[in-house]
Amino acid sequence: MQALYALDEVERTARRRSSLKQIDARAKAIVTIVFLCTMLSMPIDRLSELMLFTIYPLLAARMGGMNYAAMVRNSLLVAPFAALIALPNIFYDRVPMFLVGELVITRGWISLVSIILRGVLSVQAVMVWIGSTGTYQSVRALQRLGMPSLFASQIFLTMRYIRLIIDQALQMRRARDARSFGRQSYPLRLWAMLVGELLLRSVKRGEAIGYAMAARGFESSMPAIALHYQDRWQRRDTLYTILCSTTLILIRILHLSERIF
Amino acid sequence: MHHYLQLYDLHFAYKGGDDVLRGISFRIEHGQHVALAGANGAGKSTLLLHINGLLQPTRGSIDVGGILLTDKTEAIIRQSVGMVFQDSDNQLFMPSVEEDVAFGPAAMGLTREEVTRRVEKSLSEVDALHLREREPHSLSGGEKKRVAIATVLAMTPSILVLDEPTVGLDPRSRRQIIALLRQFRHTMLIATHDMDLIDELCERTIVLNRGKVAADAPTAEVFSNMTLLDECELEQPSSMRFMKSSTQIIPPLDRAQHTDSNANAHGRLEEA
Repeated sequence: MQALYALDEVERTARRRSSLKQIDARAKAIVTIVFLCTMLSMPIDRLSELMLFTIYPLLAARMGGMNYAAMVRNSLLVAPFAALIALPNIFYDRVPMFLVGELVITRGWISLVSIILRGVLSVQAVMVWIGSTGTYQSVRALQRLGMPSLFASQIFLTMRYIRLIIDQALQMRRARDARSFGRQSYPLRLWAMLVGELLLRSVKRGEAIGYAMAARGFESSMPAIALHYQDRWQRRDTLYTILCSTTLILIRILHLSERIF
Repeated sequence: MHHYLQLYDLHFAYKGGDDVLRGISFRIEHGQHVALAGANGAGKSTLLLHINGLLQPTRGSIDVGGILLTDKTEAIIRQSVGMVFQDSDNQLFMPSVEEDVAFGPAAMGLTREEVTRRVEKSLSEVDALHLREREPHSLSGGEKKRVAIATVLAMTPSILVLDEPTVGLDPRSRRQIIALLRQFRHTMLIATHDMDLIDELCERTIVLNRGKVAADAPTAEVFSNMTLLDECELEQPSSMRFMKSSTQIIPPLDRAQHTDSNANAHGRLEEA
């Protein structure tokens, strides 16, 4: 449910006036891509430099009038998944890095923290972008930057209909609970059937949505709906893109943390 | 342009299934309000999807205002035939109400100013301008239906095709939708189980039964044919059933007395 509220909050924030909202959606998309490339390409053991990347979501959230604390809370939802991916590193990478008292911190532990931090920062960067632009304008920006319109439409519809699919899953769970008389665990076969049913319902709904879109002139490309957006690239967009991208690239290549600390 | 709707011998079957439509033919004149009634599975929704070119008939053809529906004319016809779907959650797919209403006009390639004008006009027409910034999923059933109608009105269609416009609505929202539809001067085809809506809005009713036209007549005539209604698993509107049951309860002589006593009571009230 928290994920649902987070999605709603992102859309609501996107409708508020802010200085970041004035920036063209394409400029924000480019900066987000640069952020992800520079941050994710950072060597795994450079935790202190990775920390410097928190500056971007923090400042951008401020420019976009977003609540950074809430954003951190929501982005932490991905932490368990990232931890799951990084967990084997603790056992396989036992090279000692430093001591905390008598506790030996291995490279495996550092990579675990690093992967979690990368996951959380990636989500924050995307939240800043979509939270100051809106789902539709964000995906349309990708389309205008050259993403095939079919992919762009798929991304938009997936983001849009995650809510309906989760709603559907919750309804099914309620229906199951109403007839389970307090039983907590279910055989795997039942779960498989529920997932199958959810898939069928999603396909049916997808078909109905496809009809509704086609009935209103949708072919494959998402139309320009710029009611409250300046849909033209301006000088401030160029400035924003150059300034942010250059800073991020400098953080990546100059090893600033070594110079600062 | 004179927007009639003509269907010639329409046949359709879903892949691997039986025939859903079996030779449907009728013509709806410009400005007519026509109901499409029939039991579940009679083929109403499938027929409506054909009128917008969303499904292709296996046989037969559709003529909208002199334009034959084909792959090439589909886009033009979708501009003149506005379709309101049964489930508003499927129809409203954009993050906000105003973006949803703007989707159709934007897809038509209109200018930003014209799109904005149409959004405001169509939302005002359905009394939903105050909802423009809301997320569609946060609206009530009645509000969703009104916005769904606005999404279609924004494309300024000449023919409105509505699938179960009052299903799942509370009595007040249902009444609002009926009052709204009554204002429209468009040619309208309404598929519904709501017999009272048909009685109030449609001068003509087409009854579908197992994919065929079982009757095509003035609404009053259809509702007075009990054999037809029984065969097609339909009922009279509640107002007619109420009238019928009240005439059965009060015998003719008593009814006259009852009317007199009502008139006397009314007179007494006026004197007072």
